[in-house]
This record gives sequence, C-alpha cells and structure tokens, in this order.
Amino acid sequence: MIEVVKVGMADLKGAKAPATVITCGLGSCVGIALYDSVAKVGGIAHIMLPDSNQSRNKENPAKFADTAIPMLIQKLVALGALKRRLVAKIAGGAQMFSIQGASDIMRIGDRNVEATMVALKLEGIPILYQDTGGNYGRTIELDTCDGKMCIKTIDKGQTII
Amino acid sequence: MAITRGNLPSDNIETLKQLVNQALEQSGRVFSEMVGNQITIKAPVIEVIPLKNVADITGGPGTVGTGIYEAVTGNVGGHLLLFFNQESAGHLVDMILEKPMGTTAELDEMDISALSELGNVTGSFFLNAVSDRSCMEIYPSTPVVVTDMIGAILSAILAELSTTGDSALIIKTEFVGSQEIMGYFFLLPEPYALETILERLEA
Repeated sequence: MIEVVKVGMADLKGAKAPATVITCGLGSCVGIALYDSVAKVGGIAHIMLPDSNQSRNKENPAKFADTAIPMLIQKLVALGALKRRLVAKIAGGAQMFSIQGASDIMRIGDRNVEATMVALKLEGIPILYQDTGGNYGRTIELDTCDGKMCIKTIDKGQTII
Repeated sequence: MAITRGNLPSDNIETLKQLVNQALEQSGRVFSEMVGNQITIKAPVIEVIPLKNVADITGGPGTVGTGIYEAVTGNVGGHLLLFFNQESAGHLVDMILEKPMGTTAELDEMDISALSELGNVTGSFFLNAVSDRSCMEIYPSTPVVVTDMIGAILSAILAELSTTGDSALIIKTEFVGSQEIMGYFFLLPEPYALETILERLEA
C-alpha cells in the first residue's frame, strides 16, 4: 500500500518512497516539488505568497516562497536527502480572473512564481520542469519512487513529467 | 485587533446575522425571480475559520464547480463568491434561459453571461441592503465566472486575506431549490471591514 501524503494550502510535507505527495487546487499558489533520486526522498511546499518580508503576519513559514523552500529542504535532508542532489519541479501561479480596477493581488500568481525561482536559485536547486501561469487550477502529485510529477487540470488534461 | 482574529462578541454576531439575513432575503427574492423557481437561501452561518480550511466547506480544495466572483469595494472591502457544483450551475442556466432541465453541461458564452447576470443581481441586492442599513457606499465589481477547482478559485482571495491573519470571518449560506440546486454564498470581508459596518449600525 503506497502512502498518500496530502499537503494543504500554506503547508509543506516530505516523504520517503514508497509514497505519493499530493497538493490539490493550486490557483495563484505555487506547488514546489523537490526530489532526491538517490535517497528517493521528495516533498511538496504549497506557497500562497511570495515574500515573508512584505507580510505583517509571518507566523507560518510554509506560506511564503522565501521561507518555505529552506524549510522543505531541511525536512527532506532530515529524511535522508542530500541538498546538492535535490531537483525541483514547479506548477501553479495562475491568474484565475482579472478584474478591472482590482488590487495588485490579482497578479499574485506571477509574483509567486518569480519569488519561487529566486528562492530556488539562492539554494542552488535546478528547476527541471515548470508549468506555471495561465488562468486555470492545477493539482500535483509527486511519486517518490521515481520523482515523476503528475499535473492534473479540469479541462487541459494531465501531464506526467 | 481585527475581527478576523476571532474576537467578535456574540452581540455583534447577532447584529451581523440580522443584517446578513435581511440582505440575503432581498437577494434570494431576485435570485428566485431570475431563475423562475423558488430557491431558498438558508439562514447564514457566521464563523471564524482558519484560511486553510475555507475550501473544505465545499468538500475540499479539489472540488470542481462554477464560481461567480465579485470584488467588493467602497467604504469597506471584501470578496463575494457564489459557488455551485457543476450540475447545479447547469440547472441554473437551464432555468434562466428556459431550456429543458439537464440541457446545459459545458458552459458556453451565453451560459456564462447568464450566470454572470445572476451573480450581478444577487450581489447587488445583497450589498444594497447592507449599504442602506449602514449608510455606506459599497459596490460589487463586474462578476467573473470561472469553472475550476474551488481551491484554485479561492487562492488569490485567501492569499490576500492571509497577509494580515491566518483565519477569516466568513459568512456562508446554501442555496436549496426544488431542482437540485446546491450552492454556497461566501462573503469574505477584508480585516476591519466588519468593525466599520458595526460602528455605522450602532451610530
């Protein structure tokens, strides 16, 4: 029986094979999957906001790209991963709707993607695959046995990468 | 201290409930008129819940349905979202456009515009009732109709609210009709919006 690990919004979790790590309904949020193919350890962070320094409320590090990524790395290393072997696949960062005159928050998806790329670069983790932007939601599943990630959408089908 | 932190006294909850009830009655009436069927809007539930659990109300972030979203602006800000499961959204379109029940599956442009207009009247009547009682100017934006996972639809709204807190006061109710209509009415006020409304009501 393969363990299924569910990651909520503003949440992050790691697991060792055999396990599938899932996060559902990414809109403007970004799902960041990190994987070490030798240790067969992987995990997902589901971030909502780009930068903890721009938020008055920063109690939960898993909510921000800049703080969630180091925390997920730490978690995976504790499960036996080596930081230098980690690779990333990212998805999400959509703009679900645009409203004239609405605040900049509607562009939050783009900013989340940018911040994720910066934070990964800072940690020296390469991005192997990126499926971001657009105006639709995504659900992602990371298989810790082989590092493959499945991206599901409601009317753009599913992709395994 | 924002109400979204969960410190709303029960007297205030009662006042809000009355206000929301009256406002929902208005929008329920126009909603029913527009779809040509009696749709009941249940008594609203007002509660403070963690942001990460908001999507669970409709059955989890992966639940697929059609959302009609309006940004609320004016003296106070917030977000208004009507969310229907896919079957109900189809039934609503059938009722509004007087098509045989079960005709609409995938939404075309005409269907989307019908739902958008439904959101427009429902939202406007609701906010008008709140404006009248509180003597404030509150307006809905043009509605946007999106069919997707509820987690994805809510994500930008929740992200915005989460910059100030990890929980939100939400007002939710359900639409129930003879024709299998199942939907939710979410009102997510920005932090401090409710204090402003309560102050005006007491004044």
